[in-house]
Amino acid sequence: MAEQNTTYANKNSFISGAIDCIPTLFGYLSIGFACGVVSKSCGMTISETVAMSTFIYAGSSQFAAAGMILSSVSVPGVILTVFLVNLRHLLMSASIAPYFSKNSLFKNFTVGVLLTDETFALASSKANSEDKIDYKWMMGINLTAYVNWIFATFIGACFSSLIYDYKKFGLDFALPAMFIGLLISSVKENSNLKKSYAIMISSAVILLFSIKFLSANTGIMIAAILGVIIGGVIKK
Amino acid sequence: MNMYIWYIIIGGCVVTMLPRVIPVMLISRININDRTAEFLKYIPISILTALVVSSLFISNNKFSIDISTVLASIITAVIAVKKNDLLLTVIVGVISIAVLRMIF
Repeated sequence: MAEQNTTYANKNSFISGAIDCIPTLFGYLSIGFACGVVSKSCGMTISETVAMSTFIYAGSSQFAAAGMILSSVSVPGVILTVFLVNLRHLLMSASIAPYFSKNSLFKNFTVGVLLTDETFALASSKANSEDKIDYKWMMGINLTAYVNWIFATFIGACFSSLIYDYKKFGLDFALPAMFIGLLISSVKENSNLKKSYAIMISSAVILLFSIKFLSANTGIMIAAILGVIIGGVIKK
Repeated sequence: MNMYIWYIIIGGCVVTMLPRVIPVMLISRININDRTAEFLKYIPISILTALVVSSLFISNNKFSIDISTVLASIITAVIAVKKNDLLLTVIVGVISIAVLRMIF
């Protein structure tokens, strides 16, 4: 009986993870659609587009790769770019690691392999309010976001021939709007408000400064690291 | 079958997987000191700020700003602060930028 109850609770937390992921689906549907359109128009087939979403599973990296495929950049060149664009996940993975210390290596592999900007943000705000992250819940948000992304890029690749001005409907703003929402909820859940503000300002200033010398994606990494350090020093 | 693209997919798979899995597999195994824990705790705010700024104000690696984006961001932020509802925040953001682009 007790065992049955546990199973029930676990199933529930998988589903509640999937439900918690729903607000982010909209933003990634539109950006995934755009990614599918761009990949197809850069000369990739529908199956290559879907394979890239399945195996690389990283929006900004896929946009960058598609553009480079169009201009026939060498394989190592494209792979290096994909690596740098996606390197920020190193920090995200490190940031949530302490909440999964009780899990096996294999379980943590499955947590990390599907980690994205939005599942990371959802997980860290969950961790802040509850001090731990349920594994099944994490799988719920991760798998929902994964399936949604593959589906969105597939649809985009299928309908890429239809000229579709998605900017006109404001859909390109879904992603920044989602980042704004995720940022504000993570600030709200952090106890030290002044420190949060100091970190935000440092991160923004460093990013805007660094794009004078570096690509925006490298700048994001630098801003993320230095933002925490400098902001943390300013406001203890 | 275009091997050029498949090599990119395979290589891309490896280089996106490693940064995602290595920290969560290793750091969860070791005891970290308070300062590192504090650093990791505030990483989300720092990264999300950088993502917000880059998605709003950086295009083609240059700073760019337009009135519709600024106003829509403010409206979106107000909704996010008042209501703790991510879906509503995204919908309001999209509608407001669509309307603002018609005006400006």
